[in-house]
Amino acid sequence: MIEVIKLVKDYGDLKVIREVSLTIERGEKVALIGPSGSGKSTFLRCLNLLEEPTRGSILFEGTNLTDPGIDINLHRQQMGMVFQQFNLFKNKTVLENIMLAPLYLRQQKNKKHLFASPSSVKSIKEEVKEEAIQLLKRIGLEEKQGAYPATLSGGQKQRIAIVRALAMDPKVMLFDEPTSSLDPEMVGEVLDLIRSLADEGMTMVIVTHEMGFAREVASRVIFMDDGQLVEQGPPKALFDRPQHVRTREFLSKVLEDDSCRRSCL
Amino acid sequence: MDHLQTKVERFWRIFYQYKGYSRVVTGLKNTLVIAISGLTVGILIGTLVAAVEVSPQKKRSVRFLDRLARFYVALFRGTPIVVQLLVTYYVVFPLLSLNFSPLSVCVLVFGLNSGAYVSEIMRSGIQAVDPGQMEAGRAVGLSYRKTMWEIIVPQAIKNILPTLGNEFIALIKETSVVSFVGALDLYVAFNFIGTNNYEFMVPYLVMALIYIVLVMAVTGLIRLMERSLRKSDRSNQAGERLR
Repeated sequence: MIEVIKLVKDYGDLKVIREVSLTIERGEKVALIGPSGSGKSTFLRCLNLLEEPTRGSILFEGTNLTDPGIDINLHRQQMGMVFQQFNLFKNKTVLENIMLAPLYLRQQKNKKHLFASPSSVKSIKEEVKEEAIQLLKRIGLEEKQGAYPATLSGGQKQRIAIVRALAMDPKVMLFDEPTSSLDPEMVGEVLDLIRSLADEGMTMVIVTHEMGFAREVASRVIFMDDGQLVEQGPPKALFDRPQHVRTREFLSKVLEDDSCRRSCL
Repeated sequence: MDHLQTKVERFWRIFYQYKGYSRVVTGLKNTLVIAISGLTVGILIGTLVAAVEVSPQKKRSVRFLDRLARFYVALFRGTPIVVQLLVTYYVVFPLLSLNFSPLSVCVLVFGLNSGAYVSEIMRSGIQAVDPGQMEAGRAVGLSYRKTMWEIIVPQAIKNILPTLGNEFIALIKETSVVSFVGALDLYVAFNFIGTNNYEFMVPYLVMALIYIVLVMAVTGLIRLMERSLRKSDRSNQAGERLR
């Protein structure tokens, strides 16, 4: 589904991604782990071209996204993205946040038809709204549809950001540290939602520091360090028998912290 | 204080009986015309310049426009408005053998001058919007233009409006120099009354009062607009609850 070929990303002299190649199949749940500054977020953001790769190519369903001739917006519509900072549209209500992109997309499509009547324009809006409300019901926040993002908790914002991405019916979901800026008590509700997506068979790539979650949900875990994919494999193998010394070092550090945190609580 | 009373009486004689007020009304009208149309022209120019400056495009045409915009801003922020008025009216226009009324020259110069400031206000207002908002818009597949229009600009307006109000107030006050090129404004009107009396205390005091009232009215208007724009702010709702 996604094929990354010799991807390089430099910021001037700083090499963030060093020739990374990777293939992600439909239905896979890939967790990217690694120390901060290892390039995992940059790598994820290159997948939908929020960061422009310096070299290399990214094939998404056979289309080369780095080809300057393509309409990147069309392809981004099929790749949902969830940010660490949620990034809900601050000037829109919850419902408008979810409806904005799908409504625009369908109105554009409708314009291409010759017989676009005012009534069909209206029914498109009703349709999109109905779907948006269904999505809100799924996360139990339909009573928040008229609220502005500033009045919501972090966990609520992130769950809405996830369904905003789902509203476009994407083929893959990219999560960029979706729980890193949440208060601890809100991490669970967001992870539960991501888990339920995984269970439905959504293809996803998750950059995360939640090792327990990566182990439980991912079908493949990739350890990234210094702009390279150091080691990858099924979660059990990677967590229990890391082959590479850097992976071992990293895991011993974070797992120690993890168990410490658990024992402290 | 008896002294002051005669001064007021003398002022009133020229102002009312000798119809000095008609000049004051014209002056007030000109002040407002120059400030309002100056700001309108300024917003038009400023929007275009700011759009060029925040554009992520690296095309050659955009880069050229960007350099031109920077030069324009440097030119009009780097010189006093009196100098801009004098140079336009006595140097540029005669050289191009153009013949315009002082008032229209003033509108043009105030528009160009304010365009330079407004473009900076808009640029910083747009850049103050969290970059994550643009990323989120692009990530759901909206185009740059659509995201700008739906997400960034509405949020930027909230940043821009108070500063734009200050710009308008500054413009109103700066119109007091248009007499340098022979346009009739409040200063000219009250100066006329004063000259006819050899008495300037009361006319200039009244002139100052008119400016203050004008500025206070504008400030009030801007407050109202800001409040209606602040719907999506949590701070505002919290504030209302506290009250």
